[in-house]
Amino acid sequence: MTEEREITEKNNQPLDTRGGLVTASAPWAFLQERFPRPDFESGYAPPEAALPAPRGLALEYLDVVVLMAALSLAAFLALKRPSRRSFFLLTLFSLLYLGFWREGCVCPVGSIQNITLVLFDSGSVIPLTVIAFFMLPLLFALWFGRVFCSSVCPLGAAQELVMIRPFNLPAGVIHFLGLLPYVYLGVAVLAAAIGADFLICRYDPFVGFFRMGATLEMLIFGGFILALGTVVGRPYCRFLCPYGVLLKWMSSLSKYHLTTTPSACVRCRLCENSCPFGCLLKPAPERDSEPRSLRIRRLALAGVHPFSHRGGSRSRPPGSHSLIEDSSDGQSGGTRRAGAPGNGPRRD
Amino acid sequence: MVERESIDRRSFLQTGLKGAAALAVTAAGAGAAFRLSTDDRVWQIDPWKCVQCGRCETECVLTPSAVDCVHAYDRCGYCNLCFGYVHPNALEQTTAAENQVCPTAAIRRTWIEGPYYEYTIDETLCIGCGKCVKGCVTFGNGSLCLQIRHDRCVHCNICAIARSCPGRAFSRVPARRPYLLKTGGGGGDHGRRWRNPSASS
Ligand code: SF4
Ligand code: SF4
Ligand code: SF4
Repeated sequence: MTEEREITEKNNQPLDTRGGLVTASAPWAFLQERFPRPDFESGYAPPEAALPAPRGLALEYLDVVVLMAALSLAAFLALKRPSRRSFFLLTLFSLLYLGFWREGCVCPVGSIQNITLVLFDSGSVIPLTVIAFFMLPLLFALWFGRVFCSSVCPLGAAQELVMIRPFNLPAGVIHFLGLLPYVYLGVAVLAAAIGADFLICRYDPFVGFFRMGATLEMLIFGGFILALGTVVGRPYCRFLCPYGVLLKWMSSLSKYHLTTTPSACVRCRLCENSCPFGCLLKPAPERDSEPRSLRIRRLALAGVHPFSHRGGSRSRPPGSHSLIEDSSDGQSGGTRRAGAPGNGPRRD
Repeated sequence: MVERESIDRRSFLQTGLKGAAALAVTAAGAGAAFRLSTDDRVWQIDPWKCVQCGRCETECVLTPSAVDCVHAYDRCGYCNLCFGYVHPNALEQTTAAENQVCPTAAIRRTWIEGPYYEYTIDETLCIGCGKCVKGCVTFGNGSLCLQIRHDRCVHCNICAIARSCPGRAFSRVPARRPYLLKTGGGGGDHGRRWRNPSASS
């Protein structure tokens, strides 16, 4: 900014002699000479305006460290010591620290736009902390699934804590509403790329609560989402959050995933309705599977012409006769992660 | 012995597409790292671009706004009759409240010597309406300017005022030099007299 100004200033100087032009476009261009500063005889020295410094850089890095620690703890809890109680406590901490204390800014969800802006606007730069906030949850998702959503995201935490009696929505509704985040992501990235607006921040339903102040419309919207969240599990996460889309892509490749073990399932069916997000698939009859060599040929063909064999496209993987849990993906269930019949727990 | 995990076409395609998308996201993050700044960025107003529209008072996510008037004393003429202080249409030129520009009486006027007076802003009273700035810029030296006070600003990812500022006066500045006063002050080059950048156009 300052460098830019210094250049403009140099370019300006000759213009100052062309009084009429300059005064017409900027009437105050000469005004520093209008009333020269007096020479005080009483020894008066002008005070310095008190200009408080912004929050220190060290504290910004502390935020990154806290995010990192919370993500590590969430991954550890999810994979090694799953317990509702510990998750609840971590969720509460995230809500208090990232939400109410840091007032929800900058959060990984909104950082999508900073990344987009810096990629498209050659004049802008991006602080390291923002890149860290963008990348850390994604990298964790690449290894451990969406641990960020589970208990670190302050927006998710707000909804998690109001989830009183979640009902399962029909699969079709979930699927349809699940397309909204893609639209939202696209529009938000477009708006940030052209430098028009940061829509995700503007329409963040909860940041008004974190800051204890927002426009009436946003408070109503936030209140509506929270009220809805008491009977529909995490509506913002599942049906709006654009960062969730990125996390979903990442976690689909994740290495240490939460899965069920089909061979160990005794089909008690107690879990069928227990997931408030509809992620547990009900048992489905096993389909006759084709020989492996034929499937490979089909795959090769699919690469050439994906729609040439629509009939096969709805098939479930063999082995999905048992319940499959997929923490990564609220919409499409866990079909990808199924094991072959009788091959026990997932190998990789 | 473990059998190879079987995979069907749908899941193969899904994984492939998501993998490609994940790669793109990672690349975007890495690409952004080319424009890395080790310093943090904060919002600030360029007083040369501000047209004192009054939105700084109303658009900020905080109430009262994080924007306050800041006096760049270096530029001030210490005028007896300050139109940042007293209303130009005032019935009489006195310091009575109804003649003051500031709606909250946040400006204090102190006699220094001879015909010279010092004007001080009380930040706890200032609401950032910019009325005094308009008076000072129109009739005086323009030593009053609106600035975001970084002790109050919560550093929104997108400043709500920046979005609607008609002068496009907001930008992200390095946190080490967080103020843009016309001359002097914490962030500016002390003693420099900046000219209006827009005068070149
Ligand atoms: S919104 Fe822009 S033009 Fe209006 S008072 Fe604030 S800085 Fe000045
Ligand atoms: S006139 Fe407005 S901007 Fe100036 S000191 Fe008063 S409240 Fe602050
Ligand atoms: S960044 Fe937010 S708090 Fe700061 S001045 Fe802008 S709107 Fe107000």
